[in-house]
Amino acid sequence: MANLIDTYLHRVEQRLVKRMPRPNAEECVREIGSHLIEDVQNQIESGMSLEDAEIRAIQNLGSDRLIADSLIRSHSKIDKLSVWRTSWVSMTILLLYGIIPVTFMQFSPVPEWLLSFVGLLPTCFLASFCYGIWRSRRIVVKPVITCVAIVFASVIFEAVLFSPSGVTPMSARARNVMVSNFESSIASMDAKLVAAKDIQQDQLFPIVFRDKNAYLAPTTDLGTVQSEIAGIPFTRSTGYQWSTHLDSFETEKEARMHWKKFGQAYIDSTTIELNEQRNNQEQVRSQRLDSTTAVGIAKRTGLGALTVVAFVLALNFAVLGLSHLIRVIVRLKWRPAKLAST
Amino acid sequence: MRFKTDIEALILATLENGPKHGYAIVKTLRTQSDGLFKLNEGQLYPLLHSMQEKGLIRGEWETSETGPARKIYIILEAGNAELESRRSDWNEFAASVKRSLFPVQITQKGEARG
Repeated sequence: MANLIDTYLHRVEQRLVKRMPRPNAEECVREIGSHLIEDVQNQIESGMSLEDAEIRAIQNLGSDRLIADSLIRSHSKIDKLSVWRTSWVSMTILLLYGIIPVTFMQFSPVPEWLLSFVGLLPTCFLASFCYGIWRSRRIVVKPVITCVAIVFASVIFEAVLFSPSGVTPMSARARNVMVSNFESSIASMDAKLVAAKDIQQDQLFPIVFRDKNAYLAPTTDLGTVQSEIAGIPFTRSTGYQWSTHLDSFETEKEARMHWKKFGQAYIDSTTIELNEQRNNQEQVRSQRLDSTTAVGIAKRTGLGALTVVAFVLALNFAVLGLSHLIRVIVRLKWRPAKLAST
Repeated sequence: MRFKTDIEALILATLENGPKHGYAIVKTLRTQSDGLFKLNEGQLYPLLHSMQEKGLIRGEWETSETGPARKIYIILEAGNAELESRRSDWNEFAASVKRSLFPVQITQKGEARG
């Protein structure tokens, strides 16, 4: 029991040196040590035994984990930094996630790496945001609202100036590009439909379903359906549905077996997709931004922006609540007497 | 208002009467408030360090022949100015609270004087 204070100080020091320079950690420990000795002497003078006085003095200072945490936070000044500085990484990620889809992705075929990069952003945002809140214990309202407002403005800006339904020469160019993309896609699907019907009638394996030495044939699987949240570039899973897609097979026999089994499903789904593409092409060709469409876009985007703000703030409070709960548990579970057993 | 947990002002007021180390600050506050202010001792040192960073107080190691070396804190000029400003804010706040909590008595006293 005699080295209870030493054990306590050692534990505090161990925690401090992980996050602050050793001389600073040692100075903090010396200061706390002198505080404990003063307290113990005072308690003994008032008639308490040495053991009880040590326990009382340590109890007054609180858990080694909490005091070390407070000293580290004070030393790093993280609680004095502005919310902009503590959240700039996560806010940059949020901006990128909102702005990349409405800028780069509209004009040209999107490179795979960009798609993968955008796909990683939500996870990076969650991790960096939660870590930032955990460290700073702050409520980040202004940066979130500002970022979402910037994304909102870019969606509206893009819809008016650059989107195929916009009113500028740039929109006309985007419209022409989209119409010609639709045309080549429709032509390719038409050719595949004809070829699929030929396979159904046991004719020669068509070249459009050959991939080097492999044979392409339809298979079906159950996939998640993703839908956009109210017009902004955030998606959510809304259920599952069977979908048909082409897969590679080594032998023609195997591929033909799949065509027999799933050929009709492939023809049906491709016909539906083809009709959708034709409708979309027609829409893009004729669509112009009128006041009703503009109000619709603004409403959907606004609703999406509010959803994101609400989600991020809820996440903020959840992390703060969890951090507070952990500190309360540490405070309640911590007993100075336990130090004697270590 | 900043009076809800204005421990900084209380610490500055404690140091105004002379340099003190952490334990003495806690003890003085407890005694002066008749045990009402139960300062969380674990939060004291981070707060003192932060006040030192702000230039309100200065810390100095003091060696003693009887006990271990202790770090004493001394109030600086900026600390004195800050304390005065907080005292004035407090007076204003306390007067407003008093006027709101005891409107009748204050009016009656005023009338009696008139």
